[in-house]
Amino acid sequence: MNSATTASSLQGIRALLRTLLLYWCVLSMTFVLLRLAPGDPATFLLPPGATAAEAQRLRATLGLDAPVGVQYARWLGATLRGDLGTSFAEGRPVRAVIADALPVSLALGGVSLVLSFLAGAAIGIVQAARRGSRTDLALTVASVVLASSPAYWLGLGAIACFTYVASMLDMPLWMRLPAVGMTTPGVELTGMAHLADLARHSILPVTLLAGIGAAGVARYVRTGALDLIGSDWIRTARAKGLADRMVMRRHLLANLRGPLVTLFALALPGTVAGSVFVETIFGWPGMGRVMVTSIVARDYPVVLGCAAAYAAIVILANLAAELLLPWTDPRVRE
Amino acid sequence: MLAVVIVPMLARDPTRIDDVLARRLIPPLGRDAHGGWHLLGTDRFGRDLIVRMLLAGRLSLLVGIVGSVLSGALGTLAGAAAGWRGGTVDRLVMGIADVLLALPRLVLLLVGVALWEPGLATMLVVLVATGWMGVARLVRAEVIAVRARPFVPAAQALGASPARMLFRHVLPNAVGPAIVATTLGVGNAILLESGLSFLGLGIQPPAPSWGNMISGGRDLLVVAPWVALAPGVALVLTVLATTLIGDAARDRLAGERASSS
Repeated sequence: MNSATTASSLQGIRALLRTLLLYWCVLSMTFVLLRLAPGDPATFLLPPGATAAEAQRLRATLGLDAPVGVQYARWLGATLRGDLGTSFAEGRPVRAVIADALPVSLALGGVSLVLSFLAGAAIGIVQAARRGSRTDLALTVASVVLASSPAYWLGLGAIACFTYVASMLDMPLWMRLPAVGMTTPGVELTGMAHLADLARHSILPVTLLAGIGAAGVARYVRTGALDLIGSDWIRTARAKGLADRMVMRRHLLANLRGPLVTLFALALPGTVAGSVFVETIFGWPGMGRVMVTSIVARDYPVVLGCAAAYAAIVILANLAAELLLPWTDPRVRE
Repeated sequence: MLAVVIVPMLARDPTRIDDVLARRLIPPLGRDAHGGWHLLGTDRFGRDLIVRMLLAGRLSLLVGIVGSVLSGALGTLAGAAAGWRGGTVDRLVMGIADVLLALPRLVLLLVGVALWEPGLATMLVVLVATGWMGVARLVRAEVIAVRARPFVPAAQALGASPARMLFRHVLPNAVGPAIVATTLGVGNAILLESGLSFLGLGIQPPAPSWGNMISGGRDLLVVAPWVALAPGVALVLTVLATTLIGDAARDRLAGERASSS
């Protein structure tokens, strides 16, 4: 017992060390790539008439005149202290920029992902239960088409429908959804009114992301459930007279729960990153928007900070998937 | 059905540049002031949408297919080297793959596009550099499995060189999943290309791409919805077609495996 515990904690420490090493590699890779990039950020920050001496002074202030190795050492030291540097373009700490943007993306991606898994699992089970029926076919076609559609294009369609067309056709007010932003600009709302405003602004982006996600989850669940339906113990459960609904809920879903939790953890980073299109379309101030604007402005510290944040999300999600596995699948516990 | 989706994409018109004000924003099936007829209408510069759409389709298919075939080939080579040689090579290749997989592909693409001038070549390089890891893992697993089969030492005993072993005996047995993954990757690559072009970080206007065409129709949603609608439909149908082909390939592979074992 004791030796087993030691062995497993040793294994845990090794996994942790490997994770940290991986994280350091990822950070270093983004650093090297971005510093070797052509294009001098100083030229973006200076007024067009600036002299070479002014440019040189600015580069010195930003620490860009040092050799790449020195810059790397400085950057690594600062990063270890939790200091991600200062945004070239905005002049405020990168940490503050990310602290503003990350919750937006995490909330948007997280809520959408939860909804997409709930909806997707339900749809997939229904499809598997009525395999070959018209419902199944229609849902399959819908999910394949949805999974092939770019989010930003669907977003434009949704905006066209629910804002312009809705107001053109004089549809009821609740159907006219706001197209842009997280909240109504210029209005200070508090408490419930603020929440309601936020919810109204969230409907389109969240539904969109959740719908696209649900299409993928439904396909996965349908395939998984069909594999399971062919198994002996499902036949046994049916033979002993359990109602279909009970078989689905207690036997099928219980077996699909493990893979779904893993899939959820692994899908989270991609969804958070993928929300860049939805953020762009709907004007939400999330990580994706920050990343795109800072790339255009060659705002290296912010790009690096974003990459570091994304990598942290991926690695944490992978770790979570591993840790959650024994909880969802009793067979792994021993 | 697949042919219906794909063949019109392959039939190309020559480039025609109509920069005439009289031709701006003609609705689909409309006639311009010169009596010219436009099946899908025109955009704000009076350019015929169906011509641009087909040209963009050529670019998108090129990027999607070349991008995923090259990344599939790179992944196959990397995976084969890792699985066959083992040891340091294996650790190195898989380590690089792990580092690249620790960032969402979209983020990698964004970083990559930020490094060079946005454009076709950049797009291809970045797609290949960020797309090979999945295939490499698959091929590595297959190669390790094949290496344990009895015909491998048999061929070695007959004096086959390592290169011959790898290319004649091991890879043909291991390459099926890689082909399926590559096929399924085409749609993904097309979506990523159009997405980056939509954000203004991919194919640069005036070169047509479905992504930047949709982006160009973004502020015309009310006045001229067809400008964004047409390239979007083309994009969805193309991705759909590649997905269906990929699914068919996967099912066929699964069937072959089931019947051969």
